[in-house]
Amino acid sequence: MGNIKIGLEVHSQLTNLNSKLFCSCPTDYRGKEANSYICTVCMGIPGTLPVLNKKAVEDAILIALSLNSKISDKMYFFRKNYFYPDMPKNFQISQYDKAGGITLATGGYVSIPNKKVRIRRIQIEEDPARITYEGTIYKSKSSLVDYNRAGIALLEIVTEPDMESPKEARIFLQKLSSILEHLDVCHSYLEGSMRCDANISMEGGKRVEIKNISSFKEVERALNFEMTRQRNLLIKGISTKMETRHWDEIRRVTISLRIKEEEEEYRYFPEPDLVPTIITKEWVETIKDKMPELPDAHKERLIKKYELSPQNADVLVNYKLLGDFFEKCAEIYYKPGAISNWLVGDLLGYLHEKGIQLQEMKISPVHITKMLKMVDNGIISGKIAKTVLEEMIISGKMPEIIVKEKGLIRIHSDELIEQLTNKVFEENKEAVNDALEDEKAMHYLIGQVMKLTKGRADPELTNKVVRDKLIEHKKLLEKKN
Amino acid sequence: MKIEKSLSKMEIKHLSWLAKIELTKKEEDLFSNQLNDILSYFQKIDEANVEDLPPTYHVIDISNVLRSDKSRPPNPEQALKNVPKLKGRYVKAPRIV
Amino acid sequence: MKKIFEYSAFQIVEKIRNGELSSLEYINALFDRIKEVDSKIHAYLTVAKDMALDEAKEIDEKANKGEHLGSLCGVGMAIKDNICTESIRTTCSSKSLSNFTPSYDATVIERIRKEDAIILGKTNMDEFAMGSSTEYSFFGPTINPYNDERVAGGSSGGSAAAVAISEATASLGSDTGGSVRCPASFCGVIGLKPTYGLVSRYGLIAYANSLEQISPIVKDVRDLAILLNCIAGHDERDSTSLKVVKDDYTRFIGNDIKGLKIGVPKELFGHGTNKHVLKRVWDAIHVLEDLGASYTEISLDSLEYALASYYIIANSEASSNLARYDGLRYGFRSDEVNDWSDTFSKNRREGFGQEVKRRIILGTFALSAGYYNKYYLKAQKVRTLIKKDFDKAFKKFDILASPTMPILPFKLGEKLKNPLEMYMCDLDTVPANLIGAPAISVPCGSYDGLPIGIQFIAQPFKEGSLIQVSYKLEESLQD
Repeated sequence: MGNIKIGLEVHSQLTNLNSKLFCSCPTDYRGKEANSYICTVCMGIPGTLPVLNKKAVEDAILIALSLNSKISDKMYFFRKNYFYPDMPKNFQISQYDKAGGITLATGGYVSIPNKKVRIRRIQIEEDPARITYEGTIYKSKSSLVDYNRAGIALLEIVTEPDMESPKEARIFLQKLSSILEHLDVCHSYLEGSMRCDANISMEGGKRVEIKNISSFKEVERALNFEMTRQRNLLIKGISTKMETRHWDEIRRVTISLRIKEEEEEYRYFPEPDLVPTIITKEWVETIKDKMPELPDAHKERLIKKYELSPQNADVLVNYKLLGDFFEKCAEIYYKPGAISNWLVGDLLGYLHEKGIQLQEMKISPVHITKMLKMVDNGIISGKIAKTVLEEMIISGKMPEIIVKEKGLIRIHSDELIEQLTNKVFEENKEAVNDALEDEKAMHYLIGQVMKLTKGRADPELTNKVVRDKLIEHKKLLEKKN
Repeated sequence: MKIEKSLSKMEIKHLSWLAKIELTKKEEDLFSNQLNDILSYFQKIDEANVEDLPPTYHVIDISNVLRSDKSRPPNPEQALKNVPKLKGRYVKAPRIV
Repeated sequence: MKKIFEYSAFQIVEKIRNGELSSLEYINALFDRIKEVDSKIHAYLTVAKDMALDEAKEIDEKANKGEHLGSLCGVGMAIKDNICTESIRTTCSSKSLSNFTPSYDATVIERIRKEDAIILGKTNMDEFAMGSSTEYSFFGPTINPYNDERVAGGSSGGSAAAVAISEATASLGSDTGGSVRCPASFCGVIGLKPTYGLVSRYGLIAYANSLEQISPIVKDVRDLAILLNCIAGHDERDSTSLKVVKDDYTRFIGNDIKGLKIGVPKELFGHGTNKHVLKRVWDAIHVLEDLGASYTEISLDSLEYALASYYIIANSEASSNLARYDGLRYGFRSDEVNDWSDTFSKNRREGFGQEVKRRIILGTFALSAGYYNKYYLKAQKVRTLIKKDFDKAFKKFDILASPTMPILPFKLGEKLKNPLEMYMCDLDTVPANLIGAPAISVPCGSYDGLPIGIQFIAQPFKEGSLIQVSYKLEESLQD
């Protein structure tokens, strides 16, 4: 099958700003009442004018630097003219690299395993409003507009079509989002803070654009769908046409938008209400000085300093919050390897399973380190620890409290375990016979003892007791024979 | 003066679609004539020799007008004062598809 | 004896400060005057009588208590209906904004209020300031106070006519390509377009952002200096507002003009110029010569491209600025049809008048794919060319002089059939907007009872020079 070329247009909100791009409205609009985070400027009320947020430019420069891009020494804002009900002014203040326009930055790359995905350009623009529907988009008689999001600073990062599979696109996006997280400028876990348009073309077909992809997971899905669709067409000898398609998240298909020749006529021209921004070398230098550790360096340091496996280090870097959490744990307790295994394995797994965001979990590093100490001191078993961990994540209670409340302390009593073992042997005579021949059956018996204690029996002790009992049983049998 | 490119009614239709202004048949006819007159006058600037000149997008030479990233309380009452149709707190808009 | 509504602003301020005049009495007199003449002139679209009378009472109280009174204390002002005034309807003379009542004051309104001016009401204009006669108003034209068959000029026709016939003591208009100078000339009053960036545009409903400035219209030059002192100055809400050290423009009043060098660009005295206009303008130049100025006829070749360049830029910007009038967030809203796109198109068809539609279509064309370089970009380069020509001229001359309008106030309806003919009226006024320079229109006589204005253009920030020469001319012509 022919080569696939995928390019992405990532729209990332600068979520760490206090105010919108061109007005002083606050940015923490998520979860707020509709149309409560707006003013006359972001609503496009006649007579109002935009004034550029300095920090937005600085955050954008920081990002461009981290992506190895060339910062323009002067940039302009252009108006992108098109009508849509989510547009407060029916034009978007954006940037443009043609018609005399200069965007914030050009060039650059993001390294992913085995390749560099090249960046074409980076530009600053304003986010439109959000449209909701009564029911679905198709059935709704009218649409409802919430302008809270309108005017939020947005960075558009356009790549070259350097990715060769949907998976690679996902890996790129993960890396990019990790970089932005490290820079502390965009928190992609905030709903809708990172959106994406993708273009995909296969050898023998034309370029197809997919719009309206709301998250990274969806990007891979949309691209996979589109790849299969195009492949099927090509097999039938039909070549794909150049078009824009819409990703329908619910039905998980791409839908062709009406093809309009007019579609791309945005009538860009320089925004007369804003003046050029000159970006001096000195300014860039002061921003560069604030450059924090980036994912590659972060990973290397984790491996060197804590002797982590590259796999664990990768995950901790991709989930920057978890990485920070890890380091705090590692400061408290001396076993970074074990900590990283717990975090990357059980903790992250449980969060994914339950759909809980990292920042929503209720535990502190102390929770984890205390739990680990209890395991190491033999107070609870590893298996119990897993239960404790899950409980901690949900309730935020300290491990010793959970253990106490639920009576999870390990059973060290020979007597009790012997009693239970006797009981198991009574009830599983066949298994006992099998166990004389077969190691597996012995583990079954141990498991039954553990089960009776709800996992609290000391495994080593239980092991010993069961073994001893088996030997005894064997001797008894031999005697009989 | 020679008219290099005249605006056809088709083009006027297209422009009115782009500008989201429905024109009546009569307006299309009228505009087609008037706009062609005006455009042929505009073509005067073709003669101007400006090859090496930069465009004057901003007539006064200022740059870097920036504000510090301080948020102020929003003012939804001011912003929503003239909204013709609200549904709850949402601005009501026509159907999308 | 002058009637009280006929006084100049500086006289009103003086009399109120001295306790010679009651603010309330004077404002009442102005409203009586409005009642008397405005049905004929149609300068106002909205009057804000109750609010104005309350403010007048407050000023009288302050005067009685001996409290501080601002530099425009009590002065009754008319405001063009494209400048936002909190709680006073602001329509841009358009159906699309016929029900729009701003929730905020434009910066200039804040500033004149701070100096205790009183807003009488909002004045008629060409719809969205697109026109040179105030005939393109959804609410009907403003009539020239000197001749009821003729136009008041535009687009700030209401603001100029109101001052001319003393329905207001001073007013604010906006000047994008001559919109204040044209009606000032046609109505026999003074209109100044300041340097681009000198006066904040915050609250001015945009027609062509890169060209326009809020501009005062007054009865005499002294009033101009006082009003400009109040409205000029940096505003952090307007990114194109300039941080300049504030001048006191009254200091230019009465300065002599010996040695002043005047350039007379022949392109602004073109073939089409009315001979009576030419005569009065030359007479005025000779008056200045008698006062010690000297003049030289010059040529600015690039001016032949000015009008085309202006209209391309203005309409392009307008097509984008006016996109927001879709009926969702404010203004006129029609019934819904089909989807959003059809509804927007219908809304805008019903909300805009014909000239606005024409200019939006033209601007959309000039920015559209394949034509951007030929029209918009080229026009902006021509702008650079014109600027260079003027820069050269200003190295030799302090000011340039020309007719404000090449013609006398024309008859109502005369130019409505041919839009291009209407555009031609702006030949002499658009260059100042293209280069961002200050320009003034000052009355210099009349013909057959129709006022004629002379235009002076100075280098950016040289409003002082304009005030200086205009005052001298005004003084000489009054004698």
